[in-house]
Amino acid sequence: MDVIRALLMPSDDMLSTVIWDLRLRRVLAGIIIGAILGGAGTAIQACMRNPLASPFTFGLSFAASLGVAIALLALHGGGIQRYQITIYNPFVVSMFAFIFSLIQVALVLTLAYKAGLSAGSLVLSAIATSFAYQAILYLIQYFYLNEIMVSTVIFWTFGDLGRISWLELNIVSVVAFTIVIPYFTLRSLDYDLILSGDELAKSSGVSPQRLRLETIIVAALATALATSFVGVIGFVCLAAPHVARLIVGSGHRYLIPASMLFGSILLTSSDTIGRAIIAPTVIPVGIMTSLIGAPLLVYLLLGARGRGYRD
Amino acid sequence: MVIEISVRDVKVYYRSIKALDGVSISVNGGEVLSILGPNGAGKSTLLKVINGVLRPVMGVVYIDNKNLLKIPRRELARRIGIVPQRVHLATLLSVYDFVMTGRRSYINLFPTKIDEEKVYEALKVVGALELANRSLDELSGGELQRVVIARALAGEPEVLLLDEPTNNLDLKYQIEVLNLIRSLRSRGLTIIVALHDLTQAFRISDKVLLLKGGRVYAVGRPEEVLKPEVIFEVYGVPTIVIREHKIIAPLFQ
Repeated sequence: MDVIRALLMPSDDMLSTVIWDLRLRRVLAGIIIGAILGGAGTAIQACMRNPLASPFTFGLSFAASLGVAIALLALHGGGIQRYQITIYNPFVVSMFAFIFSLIQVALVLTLAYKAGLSAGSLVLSAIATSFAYQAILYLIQYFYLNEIMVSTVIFWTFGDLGRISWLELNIVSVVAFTIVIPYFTLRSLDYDLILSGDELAKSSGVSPQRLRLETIIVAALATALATSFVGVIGFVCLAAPHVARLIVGSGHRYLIPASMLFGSILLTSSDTIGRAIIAPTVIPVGIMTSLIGAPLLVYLLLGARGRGYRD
Repeated sequence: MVIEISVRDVKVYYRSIKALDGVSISVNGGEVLSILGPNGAGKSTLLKVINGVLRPVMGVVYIDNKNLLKIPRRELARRIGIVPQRVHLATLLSVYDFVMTGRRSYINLFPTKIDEEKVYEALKVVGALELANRSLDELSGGELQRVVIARALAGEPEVLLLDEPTNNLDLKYQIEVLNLIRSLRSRGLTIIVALHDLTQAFRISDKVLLLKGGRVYAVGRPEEVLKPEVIFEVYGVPTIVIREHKIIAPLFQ
């Protein structure tokens, strides 16, 4: 009762502040970021014709981590205070993570573009560049970062919805509702088409290269944005599409909305469970989504039998 | 509905390989043209050029006297339906969803009632209505081929291009597909089909085009072109032609 009152009539008391400022922000972040990640996973899988692909296949997590490492190194953006890792200037660190993710995506796309923008060339250039990023990250960690900074980078990569500020949440929401969700939804028929082959897509007047390029840009931008604000929550991109596919089938008109919905559900419920299970200690949501999503995926996979994956 | 296609002096090079080296051919509306020739003769390449997917280095394709490259992509997609040699089955689309992709050039945002009706109509034409809710990878080779043809028909094309539609099918399904092609001809479609089997070409074609090394070796009515001496020169295999049954049989040594 008090919760509803606080939601409808926010005042200055403690309850209102907790609900509005902490809980609601987390839940909204979970819903929106979950939808982005779920939709992006499905779209990328269709474009690459590969059920294992996701926006993180393009090396976004390493790129973002490298950005964080460099932000810490160059700007002294973090440290330890009373057993708690603190990032002094979260917005700067987020921006660094975002910029490095963009550089990574641009690099992958340039390389793949030179090689003809086929599904194969994309995967190869993504793998090659993310190994390079990983090497640079380790190199920096090995030579320049002290143990506090290394653990800050690692801490940062554990996704945490509580980290996002209202401003950041607004940015993500605007991008999600004006670009990401409309784009994936409107292109759903084209994802069916590109799944069946580039030749069929071309003959139906849909350029497979353009669809791939646009999808990757939209998915990667949104994912990079989400990652730089809340950390790496990669498993949603993988779990949401597959769980949705086992429930509504492979037609993208239903699959895209379903995987967005399931991404939201998975992320918010993981976050809630992660906060409640060994309270007051919070398990980062990046860990929780995998802990919850993996068994669920395996369960559905085994239960699907007749509708399972075959070659 | 009946439209005429004419290909004039088309050349396509893949790096240094001349895939098509000055090919000209014309097809009258409502005819069946078979493209024949050994592997690598340029059959699939020619189909891709007529489809507008592959731009020739030289030469022009005319559809009803209009340069194909000047026809908007969407209009072209409506007029020409294709049945490619291979369809990816990596992810499990339902037959209905797959056939619906054939309506892409009519759909602006989301499929309407009309699109739905056309999908069922196309499935009915190929006799695959009961497969609508099955998954693509559950189909037999013959069923899949009919569904792929239904996908092309769902776009209500005037021209149908088929790339070796009888490959990998057993005898019964081969005949089924050939009969289907014939029945589509009687609906007024202009049909161009790449084939390996000369007997099949003999039976269904109004005209055959024999390619060798990217050039036109012979063109004309099947009984004019498919003679043992011509077949020997193109394929290097001695054959006999049994005329009254329209059969071409290779002579094994």
